[in-house]
Amino acid sequence: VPAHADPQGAAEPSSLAARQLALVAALVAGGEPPDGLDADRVRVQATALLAKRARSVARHQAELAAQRPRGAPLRGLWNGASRRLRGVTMRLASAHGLATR
Amino acid sequence: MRRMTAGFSLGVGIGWRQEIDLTVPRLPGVDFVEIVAENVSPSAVPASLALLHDSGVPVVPHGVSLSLGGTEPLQHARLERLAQLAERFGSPLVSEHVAFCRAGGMEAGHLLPVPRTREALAVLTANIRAAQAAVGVPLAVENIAALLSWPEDEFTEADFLTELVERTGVLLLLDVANLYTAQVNFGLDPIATLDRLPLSQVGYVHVAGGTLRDGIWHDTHAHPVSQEILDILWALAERAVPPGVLLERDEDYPSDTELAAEIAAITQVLAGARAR
Repeated sequence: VPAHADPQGAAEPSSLAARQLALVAALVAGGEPPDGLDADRVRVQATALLAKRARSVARHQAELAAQRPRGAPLRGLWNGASRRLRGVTMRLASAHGLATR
Repeated sequence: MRRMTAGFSLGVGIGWRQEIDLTVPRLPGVDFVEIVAENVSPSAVPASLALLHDSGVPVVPHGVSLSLGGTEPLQHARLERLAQLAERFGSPLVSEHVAFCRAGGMEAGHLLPVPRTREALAVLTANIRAAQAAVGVPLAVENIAALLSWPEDEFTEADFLTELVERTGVLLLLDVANLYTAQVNFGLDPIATLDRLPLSQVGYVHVAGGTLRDGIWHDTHAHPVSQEILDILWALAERAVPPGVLLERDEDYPSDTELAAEIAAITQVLAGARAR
């Protein structure tokens, strides 16, 4: 079990919570895969996850674009949300060494 | 042939999605729909969905983020939403997954497999009981499409699901595409799995298309349903009559004609297997 899974040592190192935390950390936060898991499969899962998020961002951007208010005051809000969604994807992509479309 | 004992009959259905909301009412042979609970607000139901429901089409709420297999407490708001949707639509049941999707405050954004251990069984049992108490209608839990598996697994998928049924009385949402996914990705025998599962507890069935990339099956819901998956549905229908069978399509929506053909193919498999 990777050290980062339970820095305080509060749970048993083999506990379900620690194992699940290690997997999620490996998938979305660049952590080491939990002991015994196929590292290639973890990479495939992380890539699938990233692709799913990228599609979700694209869809939400399209929805935001469709709903974009004509008035000026909300336009900044729309631009900000759009930028934040892009930022999340870029950071995830960069964490996994992938290019975004 | 064994009859299902769920106490309701749904027929053949399709996943209702906003992108195909005008297509769904026009598809021949659609008896019921499923909605993704996270995408439909009980207080702001889209008009097209409300009309479909008003015309007599049952609506089954399907949650994707409850994290029944997670070690953190279930989130009250997510349970409440499932209950409210079930009430709004008078749903015969709601469904979720045998999976976890968050840990330590991080969202995976995806359904992840739980290790099939006694410890995970205890967690799932407690969470399923809590969800059953909260939603007010029967709950069905689904076998997920997994890309990875845990080395500490102590149960086969069939035995793990059977344990959950025996401990909680939960119904199964049996995804035959996910049985195929497990066949390709982990060497699971889908027929042996069908033979070990308590098929009388199946609430309904999912069917979906996927694709093979680098030897791994991805359950994309964006590809046509392949024959191998329909063959598993046939094998299931030979063994029991599922109360409902639902086609899931989430992306790369084909023409109305192609969607209708996929619904018709499912209907034909069910009729063919029962006629034998």
